[in-house]
Amino acid sequence: MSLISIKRFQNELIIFLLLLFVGFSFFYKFSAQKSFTSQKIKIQESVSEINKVVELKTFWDNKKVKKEIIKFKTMVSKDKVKKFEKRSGKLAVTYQNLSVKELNRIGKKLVATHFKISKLNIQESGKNRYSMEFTCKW
Amino acid sequence: MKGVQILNFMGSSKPRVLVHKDMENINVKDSIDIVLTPQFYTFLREDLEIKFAYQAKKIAPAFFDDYLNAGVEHQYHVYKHDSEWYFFAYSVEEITLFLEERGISSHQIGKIYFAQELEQRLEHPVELGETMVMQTLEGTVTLLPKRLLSREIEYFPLNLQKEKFQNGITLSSSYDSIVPFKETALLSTLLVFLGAFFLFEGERGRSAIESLELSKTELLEQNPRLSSSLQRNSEMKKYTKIDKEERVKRDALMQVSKMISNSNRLKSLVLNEKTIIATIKIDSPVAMKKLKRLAKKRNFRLLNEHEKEISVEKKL
Repeated sequence: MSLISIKRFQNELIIFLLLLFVGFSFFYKFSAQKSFTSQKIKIQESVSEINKVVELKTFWDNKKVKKEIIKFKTMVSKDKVKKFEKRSGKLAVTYQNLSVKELNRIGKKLVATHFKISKLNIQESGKNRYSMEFTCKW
Repeated sequence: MKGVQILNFMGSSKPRVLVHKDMENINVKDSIDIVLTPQFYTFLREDLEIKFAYQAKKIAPAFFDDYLNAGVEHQYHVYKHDSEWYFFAYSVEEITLFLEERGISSHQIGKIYFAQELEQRLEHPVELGETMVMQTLEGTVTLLPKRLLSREIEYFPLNLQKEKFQNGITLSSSYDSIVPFKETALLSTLLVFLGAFFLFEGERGRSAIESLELSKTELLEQNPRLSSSLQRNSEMKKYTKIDKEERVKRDALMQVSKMISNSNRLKSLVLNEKTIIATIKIDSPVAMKKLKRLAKKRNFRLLNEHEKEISVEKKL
């Protein structure tokens, strides 16, 4: 194409080039947004997954449980704690002669503490008296 | 023909060259503006009731029908001078070809002016080469053979740089372009803004991703063990299972505790990984009926039933 021809269609050429520019920038925006949407979903999923794992770990792998466990020994009088065995990540407790009030208190504490209840056995030992045995892990 | 070096002593304005058939070769490096003599255009003036130049330009070809060679493509230029419309017909191809022969490439041509704009100045004739003069006759700039004028006439040199030109055109706008210059400028501005807007939006999306990535990185820095998705999945599986199982156990315990009231009491409760079994002593048949309904509602299965005792079970 000679220079004269280019000059002759200069206006059309400018518009054509600018249309190309707009087309390119639109494509850039479109692909950036598409990639943004998919990446956003991906990142948000990862972030929510990480948060969920962190939350669950904090809940069920809480190192503070060790400190909480000692309360199962002290929340009723010593004579009612028949057995209190704490070994690496495992606790076995046996109570005897518990009143209904004490049974409820221990039960609430058991439900609220973040460990795995492996075994629980409550038996009526007399009128309004109970024995209780549980094993838990953390 | 000897070459002439064009120098620009006028700051930013381009050198102007008068274009006539007897002109010498020119040696230019930068672009120049040209002033066409009547050898390169046909001029007509009309007193018309027209408001805008584009309207005048539309009807321009009709005025030149009888004056122009039909075999040559012509371009038209129009402007208003006092109360009259000035019409110019010219051939860009003829002009550019001629100028190329004289050493001026078409890309070096800046603005094109018509000598008609010098009508006041040319009341006194100006020499064009050895044989021709240019002079205004009855308001029209015309070329005349020198021999027709008196020998005693004193010719003053024409300094184009000092003359005022107002109605120049560019080479590109001189063509009958499909899209006129003004519309091109307007459309170009709009397209540039639109393109810039899209680029900006695209860039905004990109930086938003970077910010999201940053928040993820910060989270992973606090929990480096979770950077691997395999590790995450494994831990998620492990703790989700624990969470689900332990919540079920605790829910079942709470449900049993809600079944206990003044009209009954717990006899025994056994909970392990798979099941929960509660044995409850009941005072009255009414309370028994109520408890059975409650147990059923909470998805407990009736295991044993005696007169004053009931055992219920739930799989965990």
